[in-house]
Amino acid sequence: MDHLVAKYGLSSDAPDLVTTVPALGKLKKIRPSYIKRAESAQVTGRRFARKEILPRVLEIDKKCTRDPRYFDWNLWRKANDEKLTVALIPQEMGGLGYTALGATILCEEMTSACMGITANILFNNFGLLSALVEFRTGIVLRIIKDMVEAQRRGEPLFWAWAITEPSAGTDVEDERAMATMRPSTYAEKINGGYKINGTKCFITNGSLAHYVIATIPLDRSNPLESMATFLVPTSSEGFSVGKVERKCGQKASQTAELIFEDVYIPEENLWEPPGRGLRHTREILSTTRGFIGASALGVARGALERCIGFASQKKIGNHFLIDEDWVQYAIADMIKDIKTVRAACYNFAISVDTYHVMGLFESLPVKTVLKMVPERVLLSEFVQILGGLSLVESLAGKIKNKMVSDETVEHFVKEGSAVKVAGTDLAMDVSSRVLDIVGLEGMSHRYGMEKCFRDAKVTQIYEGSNQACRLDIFHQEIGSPQ
Amino acid sequence: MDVHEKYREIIDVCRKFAAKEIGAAALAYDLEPDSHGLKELWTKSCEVGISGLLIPGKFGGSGQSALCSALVLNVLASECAGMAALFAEHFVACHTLIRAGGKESERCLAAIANFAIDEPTIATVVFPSDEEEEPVRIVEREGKLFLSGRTTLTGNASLAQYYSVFVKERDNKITCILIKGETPGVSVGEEANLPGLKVNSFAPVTFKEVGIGESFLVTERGSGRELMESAQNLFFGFVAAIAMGTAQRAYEKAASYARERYQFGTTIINHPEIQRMLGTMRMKLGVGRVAYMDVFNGGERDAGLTKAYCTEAALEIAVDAIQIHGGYGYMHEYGVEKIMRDCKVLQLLGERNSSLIIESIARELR
Repeated sequence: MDHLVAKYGLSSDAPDLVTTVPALGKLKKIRPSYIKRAESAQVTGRRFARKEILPRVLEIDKKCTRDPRYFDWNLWRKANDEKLTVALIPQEMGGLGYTALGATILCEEMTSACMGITANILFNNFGLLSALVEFRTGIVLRIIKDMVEAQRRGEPLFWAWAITEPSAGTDVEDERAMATMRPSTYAEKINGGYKINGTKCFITNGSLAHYVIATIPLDRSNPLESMATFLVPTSSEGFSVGKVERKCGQKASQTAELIFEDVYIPEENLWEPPGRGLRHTREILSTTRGFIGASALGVARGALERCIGFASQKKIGNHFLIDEDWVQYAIADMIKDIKTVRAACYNFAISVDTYHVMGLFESLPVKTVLKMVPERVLLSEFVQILGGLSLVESLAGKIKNKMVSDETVEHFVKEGSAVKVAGTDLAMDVSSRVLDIVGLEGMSHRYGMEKCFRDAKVTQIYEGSNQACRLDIFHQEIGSPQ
Repeated sequence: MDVHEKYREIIDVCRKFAAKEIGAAALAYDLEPDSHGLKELWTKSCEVGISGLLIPGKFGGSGQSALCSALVLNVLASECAGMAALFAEHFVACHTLIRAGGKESERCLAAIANFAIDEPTIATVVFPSDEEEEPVRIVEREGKLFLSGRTTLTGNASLAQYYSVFVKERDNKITCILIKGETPGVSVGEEANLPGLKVNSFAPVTFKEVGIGESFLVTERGSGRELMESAQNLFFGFVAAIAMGTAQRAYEKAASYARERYQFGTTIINHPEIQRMLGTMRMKLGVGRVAYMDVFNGGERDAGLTKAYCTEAALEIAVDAIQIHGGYGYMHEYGVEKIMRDCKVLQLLGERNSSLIIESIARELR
């Protein structure tokens, strides 16, 4: 029976990008370098997932069950050595130069082995995404420089994105909801900066972060119009990490409560002025929801690939489990769903590369500069100072705002939400059906499939619950009710 | 008479016991099963008469019906499905002895009902499976009978003192044997570490030339099929009752959270989408409750289908209950994600639901 079982994903390193999504093969003929980078992302992600994550994943899950603060630094360092922690930064500046398509594929490959571990390694790129939202050249260049230098030193530089509060989840992500929100965190204007008080909860990597990007209102009674975005160094006095949550799954990824007690934030760390905080959140969501969809797709794939492996070796009487008629129908059905969602995820990523902020890296002026100017100059103090000049910042800001208008952001929130709901519902569906096939024994921890099921559930909740995502899809596609 | 009225007293006692003793320990045992604490809990349950529920009064039990047992399991499951599953396996093992009768069975039942305070007596049941790598078989050597083989995952494995084992023999004939846990040759393998029902112990049990002289045949050789089928149906009915009990709790938690949680300018229970989710849960609970009780009211033939329906409905309810709780639902301390994990294992307990559904038709063609 073994010869009948296809080898791909978790069972083989061989790349299959252009064969599984043939549109990419066609695109490769027109834009070879774009697709080649995506193929390289698949090879890198797949190899890392198989070689480094897979052998450790169950042990890490067990350790984190005992201690939610356990973190496998060895594995993180291996990922850092391969530059996965700076995957989105252009190659010319020391990263891997993965586009949105490359990052999507990298997410999918790595989450097929473990989504929690992937979050430790890849969600770090949130810092860069946030900086790109600002697109103040000074900030972008500084963050890229900091991330690349930390990567080279082999030291972690974690970013966390703090949106959710104990009393507000969807309320911090939706315009109509935010108007009625009851914030638990707030900022006050004081001399030279701001003072922050309150609590954020369920913050991914919050307990590891060096910097927290937090949306916080200045007027608690008017959150929508006073919501701002702050960069909070976690070394700030008054900042502390509360409990690290004991979760159902994705245990390798730490989810923490962040406590702000009179935290002083200097004026220059105000990234978005009051009233622009929601816009910042929406722009990040407009890309990250797509990545979550792709990551959840990876969870589904990982579950199915493990199931196929198990079912083709599990004897039932005189035949194998995979020989059973109903099992074959179920597997075929799941393959169908995975193929469909996969195409949707890649399509979304390509449109982010084409029409959204990632397209800036592909634009002629940026491309030319990256090609012509040597890396040591790109990362030099001189360029940092140049980028910080208000003239440069305002010019770059204009170009970026033209490219990423409010309409663009909302369009991508909608498209990203669709991919997110499709991917995360798929993850839940497939990881559950897979257990129905493999039975009680196959559900044992050592086969890894029950972990996929536990990991999958939260994807329907974070980055905007699937209910909030559906509202976004309706409102942006059909229109908002009066 | 309404079944609830008929069993009100015993159900109330069990509900109080469950809320006080099981509810308090459920989350801790979910993280770290503690067999010592569990035995204490079992002893306490004996005091309120749960472990001997099915055993006739003349042997020291309460002599209650299977329906009453199912209602009790339903109530226990609302605090912890794993605890209820532990009793379900025990009840089914008792059922095999009660139904088979005979002196040895009766002596055994009396021992279960009249437990010693420091060492409670837990039983479990083993059904034959095509998935056994070393099939459990009865071998005859020099006029003596021995049991050999290794079971697939058995519930209550490391906790049980009595194993009621159904063995497949030649021509698909079935024999039921009662094996005492301390008999030489009986050993419990590695725990499976399932995602749910963690308080229970699921592991393979190995029988290495276990002399049947020390244990005994519950049925005559080859004549146990009917007993096995009734035991299986009973088990499926119990699992359905447990699934509905734990799902009921998920629904209650979600409904009460929805009344407290403020979002979009109001408590979320005012959102029609949340009402739709809660209403769907209630719909499934209502149908499932009628369905599982029907198993004990002449519907045992389709007990497997009922188990499939109820466990699937329960999982859907639990998944939506987490969704309503948002991030909180995913955190261990709120006890909702545990219900989802428990329901997932309930789905696979006994037999795969798809196999049960296919078999319900296939058996009519044979």
